Amino acid sequence: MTDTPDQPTIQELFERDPSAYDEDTILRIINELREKRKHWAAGNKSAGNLKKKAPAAPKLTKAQEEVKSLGLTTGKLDLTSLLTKK
Amino acid sequence: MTSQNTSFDESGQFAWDATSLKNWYKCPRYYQYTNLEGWSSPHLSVHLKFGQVYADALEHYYKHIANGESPEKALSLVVHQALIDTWVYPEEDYCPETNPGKPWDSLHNAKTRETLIRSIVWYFAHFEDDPMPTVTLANGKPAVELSFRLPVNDDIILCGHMDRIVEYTGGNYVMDQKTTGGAIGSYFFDGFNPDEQMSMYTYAGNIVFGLPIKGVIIDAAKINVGFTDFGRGFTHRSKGSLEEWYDQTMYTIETARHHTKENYFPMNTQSCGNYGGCSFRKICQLSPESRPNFLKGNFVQRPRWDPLKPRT
Repeated sequence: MTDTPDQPTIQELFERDPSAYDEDTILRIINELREKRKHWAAGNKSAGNLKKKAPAAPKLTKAQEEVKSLGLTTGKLDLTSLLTKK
Repeated sequence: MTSQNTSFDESGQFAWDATSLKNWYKCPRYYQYTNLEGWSSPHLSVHLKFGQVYADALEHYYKHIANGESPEKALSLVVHQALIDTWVYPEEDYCPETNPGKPWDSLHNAKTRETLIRSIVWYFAHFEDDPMPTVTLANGKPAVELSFRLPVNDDIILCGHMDRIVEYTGGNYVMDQKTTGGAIGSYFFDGFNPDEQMSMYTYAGNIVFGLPIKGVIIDAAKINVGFTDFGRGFTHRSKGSLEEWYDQTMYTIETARHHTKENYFPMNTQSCGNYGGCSFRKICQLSPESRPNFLKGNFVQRPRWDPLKPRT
């Protein structure tokens, strides 16, 4: 649900004295909160899927860690083997 | 201060609810300060206020349903009431245009006015597909808003208030609501056994309402900044456990009344650090002669706790 320029936002409604709320205003608040739940549930679901699909990062060997710590990029050159031979 | 109170006689408290029992078990000195002398923090705890409005909304929803309202109308009514209950009206000269008051500021990051209303709306959405019918009592009335007074031995009365009794998977259960900032899991629900409130509800439900009550269903809401999560747990009581609970409760009440007559309330020093620390810890750290002045300076004295006072 979106707010039109004529309508106060939900946040603005929360700042107003609720004694004078009519039924439409209450229903608007309820529906807005339901929408928020749907968005949250959808986000939660997709976050869960992403988590499941994301492949685990390959574990680096000790030699590869050393290369990484030196700030070197291996490119096509196998620096790992050079380091291990050292 | 105590002339209006209906739960005390010359020997101390004779009408006992679960809160009174919990306070006594927590610490006899805590019981003295809160139940007998009526001292409390000048500000209502955010957790208490939040939990009260939330539980009232859920309870009243089922009352509206029992009175024939549609689910949508019932929700609208309780949301409106919760908004009003969390609006701070001026003590004087209320005027909708010029002096309308202001929204309740909880000073808490997660338990706010908006997350409270959100939690009410989300609760009914979350459990939409898992409704629990309200039990019908022998008098034909729905088992909602059930205040009970159960006279037991030695002119003692056990009393309390249940939101609702429901039928679930072939058994009867008392329904209760809890809000928490912590995780909802087996550890959370484990905390309700043993528990004075849950045992008393099960015991009283069986006797007062003549229903075979298996235990209590707890619908818990975890309040986060961006969302509210829910969980449902059960706490069961066997006949033997309830008999043991009753005997222990009567012994405890007798002990508390004896201490009241003797005007002696020892500290339970193992409780001082529980739940973030007792609110009276600073008082107990003082020398006894200094305590009355510090109580007056840092706490307010409200009417003595009266479990028999009808709910408004």
